[in-house]
Amino acid sequence: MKKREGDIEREQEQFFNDRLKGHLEQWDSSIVPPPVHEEAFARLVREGKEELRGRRRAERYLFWLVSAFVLGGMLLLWQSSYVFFAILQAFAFAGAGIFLIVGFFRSNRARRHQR
Amino acid sequence: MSSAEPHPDEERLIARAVRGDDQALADLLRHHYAFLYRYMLKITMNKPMAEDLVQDTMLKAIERIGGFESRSKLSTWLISVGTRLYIDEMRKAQRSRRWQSEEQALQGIRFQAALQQQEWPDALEALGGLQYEQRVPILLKYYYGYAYEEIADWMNIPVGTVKSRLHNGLGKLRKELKTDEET
Repeated sequence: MKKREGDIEREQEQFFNDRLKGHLEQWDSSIVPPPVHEEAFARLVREGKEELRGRRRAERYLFWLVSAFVLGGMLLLWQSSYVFFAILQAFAFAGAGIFLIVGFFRSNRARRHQR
Repeated sequence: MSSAEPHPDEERLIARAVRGDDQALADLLRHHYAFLYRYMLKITMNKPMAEDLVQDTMLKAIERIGGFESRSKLSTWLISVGTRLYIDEMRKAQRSRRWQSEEQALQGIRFQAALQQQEWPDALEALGGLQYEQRVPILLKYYYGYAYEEIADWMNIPVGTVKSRLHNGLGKLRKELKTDEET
């Protein structure tokens, strides 16, 4: 007769408890983490946040730089051909719409992962 | 469930840390450090890797603490972050062979146990000999008591795969321990 899923799970848990759990608990209690000075945690937080701020600042500068290039290019295009400018604008709007929708679903998923 | 004793003032510290208080976050990380290290050492069975991953997990926690919503315990959240980092690291390591071999890492742990005059039982040897894809769910499910869904989410695999890895992993352990008994 085929075993039910619940029975298999119980059997697996029983095996783990009988053969492994005790050894693991014993090992767990004997593990001594490398000593870390109290101040090291404060420094880690301070430096971690500084690094994060630095990274975000670099991303912001990169964004401004790319924006300046894009806006400059658009101005040049506007001056040379209204039609091409309109076509490019239409594509840009469509692309932005898709990006926003995909971004919304991705950020929802990432938020679920963070919890 | 094997989990860290929460800090007596944990809720208040978390609220302060989420608002950007560096000292509160440092206190929380210090309190959970030993628990996190023990968890990382058990799943990696590799001391240098566990040390690196503890630091990476803490850095990730510093980055993401602003979004922590207290739906789970902080220790569970740290385990989820650490597990994801370990899985990513192992996937990268399989491409670059960056970390020392599993056998070398296990030798290091055996040596550490011998230094503390403790025996290294066959059961732990067999657990260390499993692939990480099987060892992680076994520890998370049966030692820490997490649900299939949580493990699947952290390892980025379907629930059915978690169940089959548990089944296959425990099957291998059973076989290994039976062989040891016979010899």
